[in-house]
Amino acid sequence: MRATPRVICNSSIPIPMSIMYRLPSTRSLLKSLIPLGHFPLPPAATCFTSQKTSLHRHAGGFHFNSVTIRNKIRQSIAGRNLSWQHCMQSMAGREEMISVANEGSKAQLLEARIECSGVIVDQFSEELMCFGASSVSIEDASFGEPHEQNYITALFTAEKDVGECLALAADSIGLKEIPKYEVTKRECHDWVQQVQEIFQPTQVTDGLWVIPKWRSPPDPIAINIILDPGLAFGTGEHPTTRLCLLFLQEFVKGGEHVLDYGTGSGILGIAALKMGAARAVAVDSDPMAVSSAIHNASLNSFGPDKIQVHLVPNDGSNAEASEGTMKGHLATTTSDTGPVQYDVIVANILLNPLLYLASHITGYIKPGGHVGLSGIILDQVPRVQDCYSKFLDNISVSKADGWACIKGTKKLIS
Amino acid sequence: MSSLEAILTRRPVAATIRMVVPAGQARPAPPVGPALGQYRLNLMTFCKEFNARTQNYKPETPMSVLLTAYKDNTFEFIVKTPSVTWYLKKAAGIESGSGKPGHQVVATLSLKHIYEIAKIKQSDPYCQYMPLESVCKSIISTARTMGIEVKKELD
Repeated sequence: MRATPRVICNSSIPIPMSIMYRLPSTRSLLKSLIPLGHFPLPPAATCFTSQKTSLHRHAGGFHFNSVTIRNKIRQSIAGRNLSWQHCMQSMAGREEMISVANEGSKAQLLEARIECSGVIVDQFSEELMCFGASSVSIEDASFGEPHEQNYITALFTAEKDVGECLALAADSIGLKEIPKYEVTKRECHDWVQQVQEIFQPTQVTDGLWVIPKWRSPPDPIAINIILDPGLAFGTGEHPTTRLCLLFLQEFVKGGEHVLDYGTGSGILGIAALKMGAARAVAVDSDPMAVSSAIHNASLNSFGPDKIQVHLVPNDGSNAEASEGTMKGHLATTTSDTGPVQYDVIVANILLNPLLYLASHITGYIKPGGHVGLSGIILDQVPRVQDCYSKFLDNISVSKADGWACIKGTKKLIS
Repeated sequence: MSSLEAILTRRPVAATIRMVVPAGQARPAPPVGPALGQYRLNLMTFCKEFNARTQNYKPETPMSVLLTAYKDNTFEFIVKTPSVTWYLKKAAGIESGSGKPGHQVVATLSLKHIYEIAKIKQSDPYCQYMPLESVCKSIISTARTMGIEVKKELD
């Protein structure tokens, strides 16, 4: 490995070759350090496949030397962590970084803010992703201009060694030294707060508003749905939520039983109740959505007599099991004998769940009842339409912003 | 060159974000949450749209996403196909590449595998103008750096 001595002597960061070989997924890394084109292959190149041990013997002096060089490196660097600390201490003012990196396991996330020049920022961010960053964002006013300093913000999970990742990324694109960076610990609460701040009162249509719980409704006489969505989907701003709310407004006249499949924050079930439905059942496969829906129901003063929220298993192949759970839950919500039949079902989920739950969902609706399906983009509409045409009549599609909602009535004779 | 009107109406970019998200599994939790939350972007909109766009892929396939966040809190994003190394590992049935590429071969693949991977990669926005042959060549060299050998036909 003639490249090995070059790496050790010239670069200011002694990177053990052992690490390189453990991360072969970066093509550029190996291209720059080990130009394979110059690699003199042994005459019998086919021995690569079968006789690994014989390769070591046949390949001659240079290969044998590289093995010993590599072993020497390993022995001389007693422990990787010590070497990293050594090289980091040698850079001015970096001692605080070591303590942060070692304490990283206590924090939830590590955020590294790196300053580097515009020429390499794109490549550098790609290499950071390869070496273990969870996400990389480039702040720019002037993307790619060579004289401007750009900032990269890279996020890592708590157990990663930020300095090592940066050093590897820097070396793989040929930088002589690691760019300046700072590491901060980030608690998960920070960004949950930020998500919540975005939420504003939204008017879906005339007389229908969705309000966050920390604001007061601008129009007190309209139907106001108070929400605190947290991490669940459904703030009323998304086109699919709006389409479903319009569907409910069209078909919920008063006294219906409504099923909200994939309820998220519970917005559709609560909206149905506010529009006059007698009872609503909301189901979701995400426990966070279930708790969010129960919380929101109580914010709108709907108790368990009006709305029931259930968790269903998320396994598409196991539809029979989920059906059993559903029947078990639903049987307790009504005093009627026989299977429960809903007047209106609304399902704002995704294409694949809609397809494999088709017979399951339409099994719960009474003949002549209304079904609304959303969470599909326009190209996916034909597939859903074909699948549901076995069960539904009068299929119509409403669209908004590239999203669609399919409405239909259950066939009277199935 | 874009027209003057296009340049004047171009929205100012706040940041460019790169992430790897499993297909159909975007949630407002790390890595998506903090990365987008710091630019005040609507997380649920991104999750919903990303999940809807990646319905064609097998769940949990790691898709790379390139997101452009604008200063007015709107965003656009491109979903790219998973990395070539991931495809090669799946095709060969191995967990990770070789520790000593060039010396140690961990798996062999046939040209048919490479051709299939190249066809998928051509649908990537950045590879569309490359001839299939050059896409195949670059996949073969990636395979070589991972310790995967490519043969014409598997015995």
